[in-house]
Amino acid sequence: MFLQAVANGIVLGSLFALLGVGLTLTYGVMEVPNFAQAGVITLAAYTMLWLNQTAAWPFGLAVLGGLAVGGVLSVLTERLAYRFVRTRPLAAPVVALGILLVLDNIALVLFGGDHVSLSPPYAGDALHLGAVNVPAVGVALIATTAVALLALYLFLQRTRTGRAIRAVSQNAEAAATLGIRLEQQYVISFFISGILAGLAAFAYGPMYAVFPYMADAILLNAFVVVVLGGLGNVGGAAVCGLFLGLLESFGAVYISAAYQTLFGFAVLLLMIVLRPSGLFSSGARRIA
Amino acid sequence: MSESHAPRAGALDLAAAPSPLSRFGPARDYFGIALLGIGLWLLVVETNAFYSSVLATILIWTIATGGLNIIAGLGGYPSLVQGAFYGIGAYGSALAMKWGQPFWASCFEAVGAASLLGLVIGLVFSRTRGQYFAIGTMFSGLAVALVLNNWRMLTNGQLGISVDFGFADMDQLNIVIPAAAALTLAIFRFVSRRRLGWRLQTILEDEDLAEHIGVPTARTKLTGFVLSAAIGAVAGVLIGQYNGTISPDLFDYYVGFVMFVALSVGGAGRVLGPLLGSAFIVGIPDLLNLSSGIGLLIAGLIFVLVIILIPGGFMSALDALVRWVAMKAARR
Repeated sequence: MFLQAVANGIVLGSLFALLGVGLTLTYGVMEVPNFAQAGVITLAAYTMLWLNQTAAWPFGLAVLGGLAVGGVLSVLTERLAYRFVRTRPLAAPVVALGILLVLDNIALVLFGGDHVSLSPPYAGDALHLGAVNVPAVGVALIATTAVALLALYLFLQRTRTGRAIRAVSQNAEAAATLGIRLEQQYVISFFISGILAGLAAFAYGPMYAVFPYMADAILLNAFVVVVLGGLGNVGGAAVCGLFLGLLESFGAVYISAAYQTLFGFAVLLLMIVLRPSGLFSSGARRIA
Repeated sequence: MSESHAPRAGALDLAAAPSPLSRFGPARDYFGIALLGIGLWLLVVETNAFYSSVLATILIWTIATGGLNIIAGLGGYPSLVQGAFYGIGAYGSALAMKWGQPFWASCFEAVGAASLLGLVIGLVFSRTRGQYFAIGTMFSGLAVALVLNNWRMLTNGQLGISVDFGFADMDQLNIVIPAAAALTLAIFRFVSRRRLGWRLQTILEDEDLAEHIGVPTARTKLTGFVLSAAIGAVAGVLIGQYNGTISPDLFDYYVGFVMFVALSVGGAGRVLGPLLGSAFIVGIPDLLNLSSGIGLLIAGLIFVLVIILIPGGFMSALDALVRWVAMKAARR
């Protein structure tokens, strides 16, 4: 029971980390709460499904197609909408919700409202470690998250573009005076965030179901992760994602599954009272 | 980069440059709101049952978003929990009546319960700003929605509960709804030109500076938030009365979000903003009877376009129109 809860928590936490990192990246550079990420996940999942089942592409190729669609859609949300509200923090959540409605309902119109399943070739397999059971899709999710986060870490730390993104995230005005092209960093961050959304679709679709509103509720958890880690803090989001996954998993097993999302909320509440700028705030950036 | 230094377009038209619509004195403003209320009442009574019910829903939403307008419109705090106060109002009054309270007492109890919840949420989250406040309040809304869904003993879960009718007849309720909507607009007009309103607008402009010049920001925000919550509960009481049954899906967590969107689209910080926004958000999908896919897709596109193209919402577009007409008239 205990070990199974740990395993479930790690799977769930990997998903939260994957989502949270994407959100916090775009929040960091542009200060928009990207609720539309949920819509990007949905459409990426449907793309994978359609390519795999209707167009009969092999699963791996279909996933790549879905990732590409995720990246492009995410960049489109930035180019067509978010960039116009960059300086208006009150307008950003409204625009984000509007885009989410548009994306979710494009999925509804194109693919219908039924719950369908994205089934990878390894769907039926499971990993048995003693009494603990982890389905293969869960293992794939953990592996995907680990690789994606490592790649993102190396990209942000070691490449010129990654450093530019971090600079914009710390202080956009100063970065601009140093000759960093802001618009370019916005587009790149949204593209990466879209790819991460695609990865989330690949990992999440087979575990639950694919339907137009599949990612809306899970995204709320991702927001807890983002706030816990400190808005714009990528490392914080990764750690807090895992933490929140474990917490909700234990809460569901030992207290009540119906209120699962509330455990995250309780932690959020505590943190806002005790440490308003996030658990990992370095003081380098005033965000609250 | 602190959010409080980002330029804000539109939201504070009220204080920055008096709009052409508000250059008349206060008496005329209140008279105008009263006339509007009477006009709305006539519309509710005289139109057929379908239009009448759509309009009543719009007016109830006007009350809820009108309450939200105080903390979000004047103070610039994006509260996404208004839907929860709306729900507390509905469930509070329904349950109080089930426990044998008379209708009028249940109204006070529901409003009191929502204010108390508002006080608690306000005490916690008024320490935060901007997006943190938005996310924190959204989760408070989610918490209330989860309780409404899962505390079956009290709320009967997703099936909902029936609400005892507290008025003499439907005609009375049809008077109360437009009257309450007009009263909400009048209260907003009143508050916006009183100390609380000025203080909230100072906080909207620059909270740090407001603190420096002696505005008690914490207390002001809390007062504004609790007032918003109380008015939201009134809307909840009325929707319970109007529908006769209530269920948690009417007060799901995204309802608070949609109310905030309605306010932004109508014109945050403006007296008539809640009415225009509610008419748009509630009325358009109902009247056009759009299927959920295409209808919501179009609604989403319109939100995004309105917010990008008309930063101050419909009210600022109306201002521009009035100014243009006045200019044309003056030239003639």
